[in-house]
Amino acid sequence: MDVLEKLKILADAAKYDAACTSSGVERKGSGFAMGSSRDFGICHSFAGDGRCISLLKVLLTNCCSFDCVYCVNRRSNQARRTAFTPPELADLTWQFYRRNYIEGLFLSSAVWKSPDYTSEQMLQVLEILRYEYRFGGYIHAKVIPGTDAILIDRLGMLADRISVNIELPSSGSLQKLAPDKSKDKILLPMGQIQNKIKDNKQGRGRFGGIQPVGSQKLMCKTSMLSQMGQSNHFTDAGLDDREQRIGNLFQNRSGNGHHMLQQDSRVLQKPWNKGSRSFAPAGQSTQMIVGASPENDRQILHLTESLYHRYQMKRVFYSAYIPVVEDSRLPTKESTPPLWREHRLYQADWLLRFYGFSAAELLDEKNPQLHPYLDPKCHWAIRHPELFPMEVNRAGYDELLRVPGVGVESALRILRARKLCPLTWDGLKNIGVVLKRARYFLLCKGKPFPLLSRRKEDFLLAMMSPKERALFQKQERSWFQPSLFTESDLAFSREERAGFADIALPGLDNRQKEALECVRIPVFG
Amino acid sequence: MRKDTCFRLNGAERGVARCSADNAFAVQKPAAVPESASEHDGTFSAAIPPVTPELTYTYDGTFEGWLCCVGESYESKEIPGRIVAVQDNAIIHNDRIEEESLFYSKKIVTLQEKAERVRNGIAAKIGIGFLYLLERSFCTCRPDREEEMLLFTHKGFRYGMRIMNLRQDPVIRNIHKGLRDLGREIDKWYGFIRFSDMQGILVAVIGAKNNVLPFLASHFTDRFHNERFMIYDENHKMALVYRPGRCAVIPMERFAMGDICEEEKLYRRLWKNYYDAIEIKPRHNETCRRTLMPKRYWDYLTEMTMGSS
Ligand code: SF4
Repeated sequence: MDVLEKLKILADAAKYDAACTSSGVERKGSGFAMGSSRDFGICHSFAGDGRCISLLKVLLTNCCSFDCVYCVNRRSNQARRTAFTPPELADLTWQFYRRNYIEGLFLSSAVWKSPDYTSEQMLQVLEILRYEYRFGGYIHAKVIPGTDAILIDRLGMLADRISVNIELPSSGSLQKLAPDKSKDKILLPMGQIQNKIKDNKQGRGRFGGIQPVGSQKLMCKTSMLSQMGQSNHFTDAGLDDREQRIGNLFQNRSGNGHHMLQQDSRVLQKPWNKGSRSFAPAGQSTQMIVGASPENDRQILHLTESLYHRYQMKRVFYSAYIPVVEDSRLPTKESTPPLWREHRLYQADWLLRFYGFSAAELLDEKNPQLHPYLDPKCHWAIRHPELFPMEVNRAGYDELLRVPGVGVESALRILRARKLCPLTWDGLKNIGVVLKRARYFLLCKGKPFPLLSRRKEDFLLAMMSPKERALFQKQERSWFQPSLFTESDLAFSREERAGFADIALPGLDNRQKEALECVRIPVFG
Repeated sequence: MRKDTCFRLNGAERGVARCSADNAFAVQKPAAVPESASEHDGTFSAAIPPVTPELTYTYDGTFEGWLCCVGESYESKEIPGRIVAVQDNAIIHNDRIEEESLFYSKKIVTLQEKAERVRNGIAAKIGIGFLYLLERSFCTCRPDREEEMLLFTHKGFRYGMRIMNLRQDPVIRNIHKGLRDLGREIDKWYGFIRFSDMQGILVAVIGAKNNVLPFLASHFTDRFHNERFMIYDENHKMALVYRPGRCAVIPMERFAMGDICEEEKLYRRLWKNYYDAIEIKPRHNETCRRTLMPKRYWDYLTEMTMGSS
C-alpha cells in the first residue's frame, strides 16, 4: 500500500479526535533545528466541517487489539488495516511542515499488539523528527492507557503536549463501552504526567521554559518599513534585472534543505535541545465523548472541573458522539450527533476557565442540563437577578465578567477607558460590549439604557443568538401566547426582579431532543 | 522592543486572556489627562488645529514622506483635509489612482533628516510604541488612513499614549479597527501561505488586502531560517525574499511560478487527500468554513484549487 492510500485510511480514522490545537508553546527557531512554535497557535486550513486544521492528525496504525464499542478501529469491526512506518510518517510531517501546510504533528494510534509496543513505535517517529530532521515544530502525542511509565517519560520529553483520553464521563460507562480500558489505567498516567510537569517547573527555576539554542540574529529585525520606502536592493544594480538577482541570491544552495539537514544531523547528533528541554511544555489535555453514554451535563461539568483542578489540564475537549457502528449499547446509527450539546459544553467550559465560574454555579440538581436556547452565562444571569443591574463605572473586573455581553477583552477595556472619564452608553458600544444583551444588566452613570423594552419576550429574545432565536421561534410559537404571560412588563424594581427568575422557561428535557439540531449552521448540498 | 510588541499585538487578536494592543503601553509614563474630561464632546479634539478641508498635502507615498507631512502640519499649525501620494505623476489616494487636479495643495518633500526629527519627537514625547502603531497603521488598507493617522498623531501629542484607551473617539476607533484588521490578516496568512518547493527554494504567492509582507517576515524567517524562500504578494507587487542571514522586502512587478516537479506534485496530492479525509462528512458546514477561511484566500490554497482525485 502506498503512502497516499495509508494517509487516507489513517487520517480518516483519526478525524474523530477533537483536539487539533497547536497553542501553548512559544519557541523560536534555533541555530540548527528548523521550525518554531507560536504561543497563540496557528490554523493552517479549515476542513469542510469548519474545523481548524493545524496539525497533521493521523493514527500511526489502525490495527487494534482493544474492542471499544464506539470506535471504528475496534478489533471486531471489519475495516482495512494499515500502519505507517516511522520514517514514512516523519518524512510526511517534515515535507508538509516545510510547505507551511501544518503546524506540526498530532500522533495518535490504535493499540497494536500491546500499549508498550505501540508507544515504542510512536517514540520512533518522534525521535526521527526531533533528532534526525531537527524538527522544531509542535508535536502532540497520545498516551495509550496501560503504557509503561518510562515510555511516557520519553514521549513527554519529545512532545509539546501529551494527552490521555478519558473517553467517557464515568467509570461505569467506561466498563460497559470500553472493556479493555479502566479508570485507573487512564488516571494513573494523567497523574504521572502532571507530576512530571510540576517537577520540571520547580527543578528548573527560570530555565523551566524552552531556551532557544543560539538563535540567529536576522537583519530583518530592523525596520522593514524604512527598507520598503527607500528602494531596497541586494546589490546596487537597477530594477529591471531584479528577478535575476533573486536567482543569484539562491544560487549557492547545495541540494535541497532536506539533505543538507540530514548531513548536518550526523555532526550535530546531540539530543534535541539538550539541557533546555522541558517535559510536555504545552501541558496535557484530554477528551471525552458526549452522547454515547447516559451522563448528564452536570456530571460532565463537574468531572471537567475536577480535571482542571486535580490534573491541571490545559484543555478538556468534548466530542459529540457520531454513530459509526451499530451496537445495542449505543445510540442508533440514525441518531443525530449531539452537536448542540457539545457546543454548550464548550461554552460552559470557557466560563470555567476564563470567567471564574464554578460547575456548581452553572448547573445544579434542579437544572442538570445546559439550556437549549440560552447560553450558560445568560441562563446564569437570569437566575441571579439580585446582582443586576450593575453600575458599569464602579463594578470590578470579576463582576463585569459575569455580565452577559461583556467578555474578557471588553471588561479590560472598560477598566482602562473609565480611568480617563466615566463611560456612557455610546462609549460602551465603541468599546465592543454586546449592548443587545448587556443593556439589560448595566447602568451607565446610574442611568439605564434609554428606551429599553422591558417586555419579557423582548428580553428573552435579546438573550439569544440569531440561530437560537430562529429555532426557538420555530419550536416555541405557542410560548408567546398570552396565557403564559400575565404581566407584559418587566421592570427592574426589586419585587419584580425577584419574579424575573421564575420566568417559565420551557421544560428542558423533551425540548432538548428537539434542540439537538440547534446551533447547527445550515448545510449546503 | 519592536519584536516584543509585534508578538503581543498578534497574540492579542487571538488570545482571550490576553488583552489588546494598548496593553503594550501599560509601562508608558502616564500622559496628561484631558483637563476638562467631564466637558469634552467625546471626540477629544480640543487644542488640535481645525481641519482645513480644501487643503491637500502631497507626498511620495513612503512612511518617511508621511512623517514629513506630520512635521509640516505641526509647524504650520494646520490640518489638511486630504493627504495624497504622488508617484510617477499619478495621484494616489486610498490605493486608487485619482483623476482630479490638485487644486489647493502643498507639496511635501521627503527629507530624511526631517523624518528622523519627527520620529524622534514622537518617540520622546509619546513613546516608541506609538511609532510602532503608526508604522502598522500605515500598512493597513483603511480608507483615509493618512488623514486619520495625522489626527491620531496630533491627539497622541496632546494626550499621550493613553489616547489608545479612548475607544469612544471615532478616530481612535478607526485606528483600532485598521490595526485589528491588519493583525487578523497577518494571522491568517501565517497559516494560509502555501510554499512550493522549486528546486530547493520555497516559493509562495499571496494576494493580501493590507500590506502584510513586512509583518510576515519575522515569523517565517524564524521558522524557516535555514531554508531559502520567497513570498510574492501579487496585489502589492512586492516580494519578501530570504536566504539564511539575509531578508528583504522588494518591489517586483511580475512573478509566475514555473513548472513544478513530480515530488512537489506528490506532496500536493498527499495534502489534498489529507484535507479531504479529515472532514467529518455528517458535520459538513460550509458557512462555518467560509467565515473562518474567506473565499478570497482560496485561490492561494493548494487544497482548495486542486480537484479531488
Ligand atoms: S483502543 Fe479503543 S478507541 Fe482506541 S483505537 Fe482501539 S478500539 Fe478504538
